Amino acid sequence: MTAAPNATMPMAGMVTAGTAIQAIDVVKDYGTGDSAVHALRHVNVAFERGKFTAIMGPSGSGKSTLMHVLSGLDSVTSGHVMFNGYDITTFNDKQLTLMRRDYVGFIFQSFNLLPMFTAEQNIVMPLTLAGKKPDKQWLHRLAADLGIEDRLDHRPSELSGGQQQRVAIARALITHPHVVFADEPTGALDSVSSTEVLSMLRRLVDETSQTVIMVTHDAAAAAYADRALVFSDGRIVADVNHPTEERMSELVMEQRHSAAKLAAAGAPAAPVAPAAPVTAPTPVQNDPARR
Amino acid sequence: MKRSRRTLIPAGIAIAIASLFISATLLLGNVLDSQAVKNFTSQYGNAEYSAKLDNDSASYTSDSPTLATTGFAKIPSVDGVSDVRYSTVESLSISAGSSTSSTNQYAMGIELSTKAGIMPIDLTDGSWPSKAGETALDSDLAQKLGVSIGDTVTFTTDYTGDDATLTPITAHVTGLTDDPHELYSLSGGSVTLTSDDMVELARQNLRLESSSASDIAKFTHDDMNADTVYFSLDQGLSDSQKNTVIDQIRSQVKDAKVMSRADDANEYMRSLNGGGVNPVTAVILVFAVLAMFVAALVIANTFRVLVTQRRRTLALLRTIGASKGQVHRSVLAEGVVLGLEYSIAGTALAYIIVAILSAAKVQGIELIPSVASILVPIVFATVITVLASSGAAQLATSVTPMEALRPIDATEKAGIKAARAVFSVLFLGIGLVLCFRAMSMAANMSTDSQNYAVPLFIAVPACILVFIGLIMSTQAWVPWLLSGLGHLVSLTGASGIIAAANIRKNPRRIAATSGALLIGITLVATVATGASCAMAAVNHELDSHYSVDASIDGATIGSDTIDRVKATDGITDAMSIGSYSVAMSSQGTAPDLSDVNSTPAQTSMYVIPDSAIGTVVADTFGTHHLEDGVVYVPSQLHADAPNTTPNLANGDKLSMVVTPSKDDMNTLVCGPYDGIDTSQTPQTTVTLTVQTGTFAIGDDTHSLAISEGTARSLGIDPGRHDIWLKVDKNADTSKLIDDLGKMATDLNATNLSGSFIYRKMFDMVIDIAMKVMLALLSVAVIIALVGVANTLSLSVIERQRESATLRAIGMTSGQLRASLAWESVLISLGAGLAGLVAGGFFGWVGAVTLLTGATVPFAPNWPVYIGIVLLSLVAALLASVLPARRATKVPPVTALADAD
Ligand SMILES: Nc1ncnc2c1ncn2[C@@H]1O[C@H](COP(=O)(O)OP(=O)(O)O)[C@@H](O)[C@H]1O
Ligand SMILES: [Mg+2]
Repeated sequence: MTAAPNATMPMAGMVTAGTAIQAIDVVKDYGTGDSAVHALRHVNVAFERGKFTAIMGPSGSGKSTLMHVLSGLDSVTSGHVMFNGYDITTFNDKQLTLMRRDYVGFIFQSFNLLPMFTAEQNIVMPLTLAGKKPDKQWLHRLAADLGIEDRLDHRPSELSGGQQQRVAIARALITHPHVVFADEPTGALDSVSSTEVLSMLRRLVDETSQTVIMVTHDAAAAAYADRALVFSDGRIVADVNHPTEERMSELVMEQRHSAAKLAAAGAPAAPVAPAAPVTAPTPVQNDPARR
Repeated sequence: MKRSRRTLIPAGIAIAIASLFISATLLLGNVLDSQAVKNFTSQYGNAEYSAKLDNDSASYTSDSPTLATTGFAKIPSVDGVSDVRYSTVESLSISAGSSTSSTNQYAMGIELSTKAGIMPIDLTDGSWPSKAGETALDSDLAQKLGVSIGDTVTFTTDYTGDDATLTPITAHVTGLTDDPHELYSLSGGSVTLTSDDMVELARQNLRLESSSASDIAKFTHDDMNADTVYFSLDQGLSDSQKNTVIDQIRSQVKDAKVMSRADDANEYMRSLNGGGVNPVTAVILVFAVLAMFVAALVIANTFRVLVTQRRRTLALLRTIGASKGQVHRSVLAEGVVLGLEYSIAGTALAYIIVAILSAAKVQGIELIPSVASILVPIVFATVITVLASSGAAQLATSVTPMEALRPIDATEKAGIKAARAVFSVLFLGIGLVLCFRAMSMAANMSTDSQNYAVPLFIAVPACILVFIGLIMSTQAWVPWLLSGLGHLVSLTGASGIIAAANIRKNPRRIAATSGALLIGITLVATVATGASCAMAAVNHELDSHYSVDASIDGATIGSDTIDRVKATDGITDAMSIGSYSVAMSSQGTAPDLSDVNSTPAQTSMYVIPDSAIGTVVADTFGTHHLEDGVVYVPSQLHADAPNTTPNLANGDKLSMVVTPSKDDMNTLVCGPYDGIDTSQTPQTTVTLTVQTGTFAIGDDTHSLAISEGTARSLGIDPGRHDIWLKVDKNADTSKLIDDLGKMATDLNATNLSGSFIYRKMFDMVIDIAMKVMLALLSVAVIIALVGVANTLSLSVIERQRESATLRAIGMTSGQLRASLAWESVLISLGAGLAGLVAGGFFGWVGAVTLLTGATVPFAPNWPVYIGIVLLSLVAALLASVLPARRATKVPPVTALADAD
């Protein structure tokens, strides 16, 4: 386990007008030498504009890492990330920060609202940081859509988990970002709140053509998406269009079994299903069990 | 165990700083004391003791006291006495070179001490004279004469007229001297002579007075006049042996006071404070108490912050079965070791710092070790450490282990909170009442009261009580103060908004940090305000002791003289003044000048135009307009010379004989003693109404003052022969003295006096006091810096997730740094403002109660206040540097990582 396996996969296709963000041969290692963890192994994937994509996979398979790398929160070991026509792996910290502020929205599992500010102050924080005045109309439309209009003056500690996550969604959308990243947004919510949040995200994509990339553990959550990727050991092992809950559960179970077998054998993982290069706008469907 | 010691390092640093603070304060106090003694008793040279004629009982009696009649002549032969110097002086005229091209200078002959070891001037080159015909010259004087070591000079006593009866004395120059205290510069510089040559000069005087040859031949050293004798004792005498020697000297001398140099300085400084407490000693004492108080607060406060961490550890110990007693004992032992270790380190550091300052020749600062400056900080800091740490243990064991494991904010009991509120209000109230009581007590106290220290001893604990009240209630008022400032800061942008919000969120911690800062800043403001108030009061006192900076008397004044004098560097104003010579009898009736036994007091009476008050003479008459028909009398007059002056009060009538004062002193002095025929001098007898005031013109405290109108009504014009000068405080003293000397010679003046030289000594002491303050200031800033940096670091660690979120949604690392800087600035500014108000008040209270009897104005020390604010801002910015680096180094993703 001294180095990542050679890239055997062909290079990703051209960036087309419909691509919001694309990872090209991205490798992310944590640490070096024997203790190195290969969080992403030559990942190639493109995300279509206006689509809702879910990323699934076992714990530690690299889902969050991919999201962090794509959003400029973390650097890559090698490879490129094309965002809006720019290769953000060449950006410095300040450029990345400004890119996140102006073009990216984040929704976190644990909401990550700032406790010292009210809901409204939290929502407009990206604009405050930019020194801009919030668009009141957009703010109130968001609040109305998310059903938190009468909660704007409350602090996070006075809101329920579902309400907090809605405030976080509003914060992610206040700048009209190019991409919204959601890392297990329903992970800390009860099932009713989860359903609400997921429906809102779905509606958002349908009504405003917002690009959303969401990491989830939950096959039912993945079913809200237009497309679902399955990760295993730093690789994409499945790419499903119009995922259903049953199909995704099946796929995830398969991954668990092979991961367990691998762990027992102590050998490097081989993907159950070979991951295919994905070219937008139509993801190639290599899954043998395709519907 | 190792781990727990590491967590105690911040407390260790606090203890070290605290003990450093106490030790440095005591060391610098030693410096201040020694400098004050040195400066106010510069005449002593290296002598330890003096015997001084009791002026009033000895003067104005039949004959001038001689060394024989006073018993001073016997002092050198007393067993145990080492070196003796008589204060005999002889004005002389000295010249060098051939008789055709000689340069002539006026100078002051002074007598070498018997062993040449206790001169008030320094030998810079060559050696002291060892026999008659040898002399050591002031180097400036030697330069003017154009002579160096080995050359020859000739001199005679200073006399007017071309009396050729005097044979000049010839002497070799054996050494050059320097006069650091400018003791003789106004007289032209010193000429150090052996006693034989001094006797020879005195004999010349006798010749001038046409004494008989046999009288002259009989005249010996024993017949010389000296009002003071300075002496040192043999090395290695025990205290009791010293006392025996002093007692023996006391039994030998008559009408004289024998005292040590320190007692002399102390008495002098007390006299400046109207006889009250010695201001320097009091300042040092108050500093020491304050330093200990600050040290205690710093240590206690650090432990309060540590409790949060330690509580968990101690509580865990309890859950695994340690008893309360075990916990307490371990904490106690830990406290003793910690306190000793770090207080020794801090004390050593204080010594090192002062030693470095002294080695770097920072003016006036020297290392004067003392037992107190070692023991007090170590013992005090250790005791406070033990108390503070056992207090922490108490906090941890007073609740159940489970409660202790919860965060501290959640567990504060309502009861504790209420008790704190009650006590802080109580302390504030009682403290304030006592402060005002002490102030009114001090203001109404007569200057010679024996209880002069009582107000101060009430005021210091009262101020401490108020301050403890303030510190205890920080949680109530700091958030309130900071939210106001926070609103302002929020206007500056995102970083300011976030900083203000963070401060609002954690009022408890912010209050604790502000408390630490408040201590430092309050201390500085207290000292600064106290110093400026005391200085204003002392300045007023000095004005009444030295009302005229300098004066050239008996001068020939031409039409452009005053303008020429004014144009001299270092002289800001000048005015010609007329004066009368006055005789008044102690009975208050008009003195009968023909009656030898009526002992009228001879003094000068100056005609002071209103325009001179506040310009060339200090504004201490209590009015800017002198009334006609009134004679202004110094309130000190009778107290200083009870036997020869009338005891006068406002409204009394004073009768006197007035004679115009002229340039030739000999024809002026209208007294029966010299046998001068007063019938030739125009004079008048008048009676004027008395008005007392606090002023002293020239060297004596007996001079009277009248208005121009009063002078006109006297009918005899004194002419204007004196020039009064206002001197620039910052002028180069030795150059100014030189210029004044030349001027006096040019104007044919009979006398030159300059009280500004004495004031210079005060400036020197005040200067050193200021340096001490600066040193304290820097320590206070370090305390502040450590405190703020600690709190910020703690907050940064706690807020990792929030900071990461902000970074993720678009806060640049610059904005994050700026926001921490704002937070730090807010805390510092809040504490700074509060500290200024509190310290300003304490300082004023301190000065008022310290200088009993005097009117102490509230004198805000704006430069220091502004300095404090700027310093606390800089300290705040510095304090935010490390925490900010820590905050920005953490990549946003690590902090965001969800546990999944
Ligand atoms: N900061 C880090 N340092 C070291 N290893 C990391 C770090 N972040 C993630 N990893 C490792 O990288 C792999 C992928 O992690 P992650 O992307 O968080 O997985 P997922 O989100 O799919 O559960 C895991 O093995 C994880 O332990
Ligand atoms: Mg994850």
